[in-house]
Amino acid sequence: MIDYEEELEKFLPALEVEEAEATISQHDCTDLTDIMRQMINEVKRNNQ
Amino acid sequence: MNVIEKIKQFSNYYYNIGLKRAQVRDLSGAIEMLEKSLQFNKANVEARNLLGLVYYETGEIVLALREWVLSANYKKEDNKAIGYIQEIQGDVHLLTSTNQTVRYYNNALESAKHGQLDMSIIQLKKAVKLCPKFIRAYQLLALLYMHQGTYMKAKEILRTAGRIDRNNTTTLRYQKQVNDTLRMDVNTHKKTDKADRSLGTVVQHETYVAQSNLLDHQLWRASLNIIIGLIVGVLIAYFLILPSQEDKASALVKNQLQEANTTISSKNVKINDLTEQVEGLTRQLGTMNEEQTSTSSEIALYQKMLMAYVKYVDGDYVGAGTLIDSVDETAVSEDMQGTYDTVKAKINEEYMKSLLKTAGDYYNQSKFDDAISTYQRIMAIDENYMDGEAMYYAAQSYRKNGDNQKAIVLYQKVIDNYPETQKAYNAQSYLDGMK
Repeated sequence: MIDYEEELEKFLPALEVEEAEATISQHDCTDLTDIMRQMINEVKRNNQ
Repeated sequence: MNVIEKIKQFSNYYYNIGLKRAQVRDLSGAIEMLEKSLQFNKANVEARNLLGLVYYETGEIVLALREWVLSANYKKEDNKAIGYIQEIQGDVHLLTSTNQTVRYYNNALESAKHGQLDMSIIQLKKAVKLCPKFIRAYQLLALLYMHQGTYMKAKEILRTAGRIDRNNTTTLRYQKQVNDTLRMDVNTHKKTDKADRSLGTVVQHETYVAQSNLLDHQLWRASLNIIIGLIVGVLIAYFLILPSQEDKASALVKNQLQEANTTISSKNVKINDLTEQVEGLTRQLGTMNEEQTSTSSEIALYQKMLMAYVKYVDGDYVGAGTLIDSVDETAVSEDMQGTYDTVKAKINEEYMKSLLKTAGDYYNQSKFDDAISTYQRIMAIDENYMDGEAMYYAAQSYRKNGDNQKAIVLYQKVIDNYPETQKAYNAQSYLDGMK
């Protein structure tokens, strides 16, 4: 059974075109390659 | 193959799955796979461009733009994303309608959260009319219909949403709820119908028997009710409606009379005001006329004074004196009094001398009438001019002209005013000779 109030909460406001720039700057683009590089750097630092 | 290459391979693997799902319009599924692909390799331009397209297809234009801008940032040349961005930015109508759609949707969401379902539904209908692929708007609209209990409408909306995105979990969940509810309703109706039909058969029989007896009685009662109704109607009209209409008419006449009285009194006030204004203006006009007359006479007076002075300068002392003499001294204003006195004194000094000489000439020529009138003019200005010279010779002129009465009066004046003088002695001897 669907709970109306609960479902309504899941709907988020949509963004206007002018807000696209803010969305891009806030968007987290970290990928696995970044994480791998970060790990390699940390391992290297620990070995030194 | 190094680790980075392996990661890129994973990214491409998920991109391929995403592409297959997008091809069969499983847009939600495609989004899920493409986002996974980008988590492995954010620079996978193909995956990002496709994700943008899928977002665009679900009506999420801002999210589509975000993906394409990021894509163009990773690959600045030979990138389809650049073309998509240019196409959208060049279409002013699309941008405007997108913003309008977003506003309708956001307003609808706000209204729904405040319990204004009807308002919210109107806004959502507008949103999907402007952007017929806006999945979120369809889903919210369906949810509101479900909450209102209009499941058929919700079903129709969800069907449209399903045609755009086939495997959207939210759409599928709502559809299941709608279908279950509608199925339950159908079963309940079937049971109710059966029960109604069996009960109906029993009641039908009993009703049929009683019906014929009741029919006559009902007809008679209906006729009686109609007659009573008519009588009551007439009475109501007579006692309630007519007096009320009369009252209304009388009130209307009263109001009209009152309005007319008010109008008349306001008009009277206006007439009084206007009369007062007319009187005031008439008074003003009279004053102005008076002022104008006095100004005209003042101008004439000053003209006389000026001309007298001109004659005086030209050496025409008699003319100057005659003119200045004709000036009404009382009409001279206070400001001009000093000037008038100075001019008059200067003119008179020479004027009297001239008159005295002229009078003497007349006297010597035995023109006693002319001599008398000239001496009289001198005496009118200054009776005692030249220590009674004019007075004495005026008396002589009267005597020689045979007017002894006037001569006696003037001789007596000379004796009284200038005693112990030659003129007084001569006057006395003439008086004595005349007696």
